[in-house]
Amino acid sequence: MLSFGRAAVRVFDLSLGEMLWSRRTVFMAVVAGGPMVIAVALRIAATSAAVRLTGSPGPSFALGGPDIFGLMIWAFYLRFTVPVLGVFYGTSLIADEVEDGTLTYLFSRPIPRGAILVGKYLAYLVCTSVVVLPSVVVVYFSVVPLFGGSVGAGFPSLVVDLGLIGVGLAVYGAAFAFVGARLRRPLLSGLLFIFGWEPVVVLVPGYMKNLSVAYYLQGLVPHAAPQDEPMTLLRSALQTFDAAPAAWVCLLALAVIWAVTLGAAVLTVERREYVLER
Amino acid sequence: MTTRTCCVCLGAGGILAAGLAGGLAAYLQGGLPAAAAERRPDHFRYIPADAHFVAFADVRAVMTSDLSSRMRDRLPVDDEPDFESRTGIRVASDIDEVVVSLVPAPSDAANLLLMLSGRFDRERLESLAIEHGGAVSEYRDHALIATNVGDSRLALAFVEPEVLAVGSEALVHDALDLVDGGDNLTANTRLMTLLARVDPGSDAWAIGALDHPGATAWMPQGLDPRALRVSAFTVAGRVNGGIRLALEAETPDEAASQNLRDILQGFIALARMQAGAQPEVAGILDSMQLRATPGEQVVHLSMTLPPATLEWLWDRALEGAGAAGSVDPELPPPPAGPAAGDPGGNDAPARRQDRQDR
Repeated sequence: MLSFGRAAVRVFDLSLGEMLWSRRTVFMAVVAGGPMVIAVALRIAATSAAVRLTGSPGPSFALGGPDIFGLMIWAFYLRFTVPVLGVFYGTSLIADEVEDGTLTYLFSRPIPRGAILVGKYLAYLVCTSVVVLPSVVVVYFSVVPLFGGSVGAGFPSLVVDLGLIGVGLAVYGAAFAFVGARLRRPLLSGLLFIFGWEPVVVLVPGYMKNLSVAYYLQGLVPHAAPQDEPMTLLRSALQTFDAAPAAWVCLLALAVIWAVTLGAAVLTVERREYVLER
Repeated sequence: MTTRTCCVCLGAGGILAAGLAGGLAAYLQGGLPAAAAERRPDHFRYIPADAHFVAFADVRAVMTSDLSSRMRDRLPVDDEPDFESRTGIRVASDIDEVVVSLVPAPSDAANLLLMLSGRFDRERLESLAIEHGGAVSEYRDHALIATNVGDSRLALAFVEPEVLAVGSEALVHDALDLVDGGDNLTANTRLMTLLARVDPGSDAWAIGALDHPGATAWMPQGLDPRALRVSAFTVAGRVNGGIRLALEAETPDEAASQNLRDILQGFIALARMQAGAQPEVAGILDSMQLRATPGEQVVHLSMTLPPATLEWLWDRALEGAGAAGSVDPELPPPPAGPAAGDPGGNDAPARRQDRQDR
């Protein structure tokens, strides 16, 4: 029997190609390509004479390029792309094999069962990073120089944002890998979690927000979170006595969520008896 | 892993690496104080290192902007040609950049030095200065023209064929001393650190350190930012149809930073209440964004002045200037001049003379 590490690498090698050339990747390309299209369109519009503010009487550039980039990172990537990719890919790591009835072939190989999940999880991380992170870079160089922004001055925030997106993909992926390994209808549960549970609990005072990933990611992106949005005002009104957690608390919490959920997913795959439907 | 999978991964990695490398290069070029000094105006090398205030304006960029041409269209017709005919300088095309610096003086006042770069009619400027009582002398192989203005002694000299130094005689001497090298403004780490915070795309900016004696002597009476515990500031503006302004005030500690932010927030709220009837002012107030950076003890205020608001402010300013220059009915009438009896009311020459006198 192969060791856990070597087995995981073999599964990763096999799964990466499958994952990258699947129909799901088209969906991922659309999700990650949306912000790129918006950014490029914004760039073209801003540099064209029509939007060069040469006669427009309104407030020309209430937001600078770095502000727009921060908003796009927050709204498009951290609040949408990362959780959605985590749900779609994370829940499918094992659930797809169960649904297709091919899990038996994997389990019959002389490799630890947990290595199958870990290998597939690594393939998910590489596959999503390959599509999402270059998209962030394109958005950065398209949007940040607009309206007086500086590519050089905003570089540290780009590095932080890339790191945060990587962390978000890892944590959401691990959490939904566990959901996929444990529940019968993981996709539905995952969608309910990211579009139902998380948006509500981060706004509601109390400890419930601690049971979400978005709360800790949000704590790490003060530069990206909009300052004057109605939702932010609402949140600040509701959180009068609740300060945002420190960055190290957020990182620690995300690390714990990642380790616990990935460990639980591996244990579930190791121990659970999957019944394939005919 | 198949070849095409490998190619996709390498391609994506390449985009990511290229982006990070480009961003890092831009950061290293523009993010560090020393690098900031290198890409800042060349005239920094003529400014003494002990300056505590520096302002810069990219006159060419501002004057060729759409906003500037709209503002000029609203000026009375006889304003610019007068200055041009006297000095030979056409501001819109002959001046490229201006750097203003203030250096503490022993008399608790501040010495001023202006460095102007552009294309100047040297002989005409020098003869104009001599006409106004200037005395020509030689200093370090450069012609220096000095004159008394009130209690001060001002001088001008060309440190380069296209760079003119104007200001206190002592500072013009310093600028000429620095032609051959020496400790200049780039050695002032305090100002260079402030400069690193200024958006490099700004068309005009000012930075100042206020945390040493005499640093606020140049400010108007009654305006002392040290009362608000402001130890340094930066102001930067970018012209692009309207003007986007970014102000930063540095305080010695976090409590002062929070207090300053609260005070500004209060003023903005008060102004919002008062500005209900003025949509132009309300537009500025709505665009204001105020935030404090706890770790850096810096309060940031940014705002946008849209074109319509600027035109409104410009018109108000012109009206104010017109009112200030109008004849008080209580005063005796001015002596009769060539334009006094103009039946058409064409008093342009008289107004021009009035402006020159003022």
